[in-house]
Amino acid sequence: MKEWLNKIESADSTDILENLRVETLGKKGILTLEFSKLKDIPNNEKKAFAQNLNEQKTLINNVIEKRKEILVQIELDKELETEKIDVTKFNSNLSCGAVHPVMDTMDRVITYFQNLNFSVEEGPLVEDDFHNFEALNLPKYHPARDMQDTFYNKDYTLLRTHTSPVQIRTMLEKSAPIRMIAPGTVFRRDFDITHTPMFHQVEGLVVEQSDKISFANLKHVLEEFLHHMFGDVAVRFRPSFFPFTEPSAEVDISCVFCKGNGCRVCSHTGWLEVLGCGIVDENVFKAVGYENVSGYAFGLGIERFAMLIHNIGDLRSLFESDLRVLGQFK
Amino acid sequence: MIITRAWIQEFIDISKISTENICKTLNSIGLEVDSVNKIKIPDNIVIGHVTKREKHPDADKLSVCQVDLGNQSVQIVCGAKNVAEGQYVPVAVVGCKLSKDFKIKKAKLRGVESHGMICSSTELGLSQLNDGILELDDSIGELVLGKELNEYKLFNDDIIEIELTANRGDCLSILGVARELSTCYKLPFNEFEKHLNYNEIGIGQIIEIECDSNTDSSLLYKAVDFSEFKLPILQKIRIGLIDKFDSNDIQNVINYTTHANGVLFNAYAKHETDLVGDLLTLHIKKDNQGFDCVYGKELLSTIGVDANKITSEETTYIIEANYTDPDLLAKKIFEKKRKAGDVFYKSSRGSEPQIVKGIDYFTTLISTFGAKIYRGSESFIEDKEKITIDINTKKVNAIIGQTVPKAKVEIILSSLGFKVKDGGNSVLSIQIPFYRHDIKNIADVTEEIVRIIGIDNIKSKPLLIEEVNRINKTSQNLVKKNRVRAKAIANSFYETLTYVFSSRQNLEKYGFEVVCEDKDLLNPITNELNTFRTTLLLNLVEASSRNFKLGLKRVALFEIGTIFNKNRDEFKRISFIYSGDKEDECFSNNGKPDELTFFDFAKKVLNIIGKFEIEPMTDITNKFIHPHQNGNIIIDGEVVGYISKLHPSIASSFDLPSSFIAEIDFDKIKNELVVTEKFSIFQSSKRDLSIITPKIMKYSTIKNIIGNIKDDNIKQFNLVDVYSDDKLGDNESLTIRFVLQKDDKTMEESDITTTMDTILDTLNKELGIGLRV
Repeated sequence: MKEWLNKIESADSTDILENLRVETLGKKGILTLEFSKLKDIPNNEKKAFAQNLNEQKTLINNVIEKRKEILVQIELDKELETEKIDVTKFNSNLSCGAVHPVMDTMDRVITYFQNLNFSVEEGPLVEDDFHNFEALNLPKYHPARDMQDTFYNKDYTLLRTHTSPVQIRTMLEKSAPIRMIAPGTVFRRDFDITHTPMFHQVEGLVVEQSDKISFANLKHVLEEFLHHMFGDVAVRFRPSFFPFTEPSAEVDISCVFCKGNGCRVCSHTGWLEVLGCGIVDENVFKAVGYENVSGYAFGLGIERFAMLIHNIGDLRSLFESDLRVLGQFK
Repeated sequence: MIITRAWIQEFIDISKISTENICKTLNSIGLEVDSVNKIKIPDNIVIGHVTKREKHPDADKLSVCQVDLGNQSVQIVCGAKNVAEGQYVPVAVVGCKLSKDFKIKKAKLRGVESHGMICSSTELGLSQLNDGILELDDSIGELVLGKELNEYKLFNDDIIEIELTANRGDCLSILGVARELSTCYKLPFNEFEKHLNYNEIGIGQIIEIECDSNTDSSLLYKAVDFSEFKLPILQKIRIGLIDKFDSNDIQNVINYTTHANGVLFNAYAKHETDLVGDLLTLHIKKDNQGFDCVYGKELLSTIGVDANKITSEETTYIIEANYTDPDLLAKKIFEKKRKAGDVFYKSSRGSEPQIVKGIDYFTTLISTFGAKIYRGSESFIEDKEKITIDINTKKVNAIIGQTVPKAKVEIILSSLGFKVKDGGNSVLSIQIPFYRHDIKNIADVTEEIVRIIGIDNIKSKPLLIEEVNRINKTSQNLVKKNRVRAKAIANSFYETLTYVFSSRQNLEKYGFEVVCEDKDLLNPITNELNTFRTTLLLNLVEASSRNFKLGLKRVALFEIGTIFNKNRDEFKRISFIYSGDKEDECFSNNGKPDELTFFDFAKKVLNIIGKFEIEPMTDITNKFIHPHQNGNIIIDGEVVGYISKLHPSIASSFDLPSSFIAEIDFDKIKNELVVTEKFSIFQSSKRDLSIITPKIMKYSTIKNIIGNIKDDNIKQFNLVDVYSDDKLGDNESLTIRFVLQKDDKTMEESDITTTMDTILDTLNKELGIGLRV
């Protein structure tokens, strides 16, 4: 018996184990043969004999099962070992595409203002003089038209030079109060290292009843916004001039590259201009037939934001679909 | 607008205020500082006096000069033609470092020793003022031999360039900027003293001005004898600084004065005038477009539009100071579509209206430079009344969002030159000075207050708003757009952004629609971008091509953007291009990935834009489309775009490998909320059906027939194998796998047989096709 148990415990494969099982417990196994002797055993010894055999059977069974468990595991381990791969051969190059940094920045701006309960409005790219200039207090002879080199079409329409005509369209369509942004593509006839003939703006307009909107409100919304976009920067408002707002201001942030100490990007001033804004000029409201209202408006260039946020040096590269640039935005 | 510390100093005393502080103030009041530069002449350039000049013995073009430097006298060989005995000159002495790699050393020039260099203006780092060396005079300060040049203010000054907004014509002069600074720093203005060097003769004896009564401009005339006039170096250097230096010194002094005080001047030489008897006569009348013009023998100038250019060596001049209402002028120029000269920049933004003061400043200045002024003047100045507006300070405070006391408003406006009267209660009555033609209403006045108190001193306040549902079609489209973009990116496409312009020639060449001629761009920026794009694909093909030229093996791009049709109506499209390999080169494909196929590409597009069908195009609209691998994209029975292999000859002309393109009407892409359907909980069965069909039969025909079979048990079917061989000839074998399932119980073999028989019967009846045997 001891001998069998030793054999079972040293069996090194499930096949051998199975053979041993057959040899001991199988139809012709030694234990089975022993059981067959039972009929020849005197009745008074039968019980003890059978009990002994059963104990042996249980013992062998247990030992086999135990051994089997071990061997199965060993064999599974062996089999799994053959499936071994070098997981470090994993190709970690992303094969997905990427969002365009300008569009991504635009999304961030839109989402911010949507969260402040601004609506999103849009308008056509081809505009007329009224919506793009005249209604925005830019009469035809105004010297400020110099500021915007305009693309004209042969039928006297033009490509919008800013997203401001969307303000006009929205105001003509709806009545106050208004709380909107207008993201979109705009065009100026300028093409050099810092200008592309097409770029993107987001315009904001809030109109409420008379005396409700103040410059202090405008300051608040823009300061919060710029902190959201650029983090911990200083924000500075400089009085400026736009025909459609009065008072007007340009907004600077402390240079994100040199922390305001002065560097090449900020022309050693420590400041970066990022926004234009102001209190909506009465003449703009007059042009759309609004009375007894007050409002503020602001506008920003998306490319400028994207370049500052992502440290992109060359504006033109944003329009060249160069995967050496775009590939970094995966 | 360029100002310098020293020049501003002539109007107000800023000696105790740092340049940094001045810049900060300028920025805060809305005069944006563009740049600050220092003029600093290098050390070791001193004042010298040329005591002797002799010809170089061995070189025609050189002179040997003895130069007194105060404590020593040195010999310098000089190549300038204009060097002369008696001149005071800048001398770079031995050891002076003129630039990084130009150090003055003791030298021998053609055998003659030279101990230094007499410098020209450009060698000092200034603009070119003449040919040759710079001759100094005491306009820069007392000339002390041997004194370092950079100890003089002129040669050690800060240059501030201001970017002026279009409304601030009043700051287009040193005086204008000084006026602003005097308000900010509460500094008194240095009034200049009128002091003229008179000629004995009165103006009436020499000139005659005939002026029509309908003239719009204010005009003032003086006569000047310039024969003894010499423009000092200080003025010349400053004119060089503002980039207005002219070869004629009378022109120079006019440019100088206009920059200093903002008044516009003209000078008319004696020979240009109309001689009536002995009188130099000018006729002022309107031209046929209604502009005020000055005629002598012929047209000399158009006031505010074209200045008279001084070209002669004449010494007797009629000097004119003029002013025209800028709005009037700008309007007229626009209406008449008139091209205006350089002077219009200033006149249309508002030149200085105080022409009497202006001409006094000018004549005083030239008197000190030797010119003689004929007594008296001819003036045509209309008495215009200053505009007065009433403002309510409560309203001002509402615009600012903060209380600025009425008294403070009054102080600020007075300091800016406004005459303020208390109108009782919250009202102030404000008289606007002529030079602030930009101030018209309460908002303008508020801006002045805001400027001076400083926006940084306004406390931010959140606006309380009423909640409103702001979701609209645009915002819903944005959600859709972002969803589609995210899917495109996950399916390996890069988002791109290209110009909405295109080349008309190229669009036509490739058979795309073009915007009709009479609606096209009038003033395109380049030939390559001379029209509106009517497809996104040309840009995408070009973009892909650029990337392949950089050595990439796989480029997948998409763009969502506006295109235009023939009538220039705007449409939103989403377009895709995929060029090259199906996947990265890696060990799993032995570094040789397959090329993408039409079906791979179509699947990607499908996964991005949602369910669609493809039917071959019946009308191939452009040359990008492959004649045999193309299809219309159909959503709910409507053609919404197309998909194609890029025509190989186009691909090769762009250096592209096998490429695929698709362009789809973005608005037709669905974005509907899902309504779920009941699904069966019973086991499904799969059955394959291999049928023989003629190769020319489109699979979509078969698909439609099966799709129309009214048998709820057919849950799904899919083409899993296509086989053809010589034996099949013009036929092919299609294996279609069906997923069958009942909604109310598990399918039994008899149910399956019934359904499969129905399918076969229908295909046989409708298309005459059947099982492969």
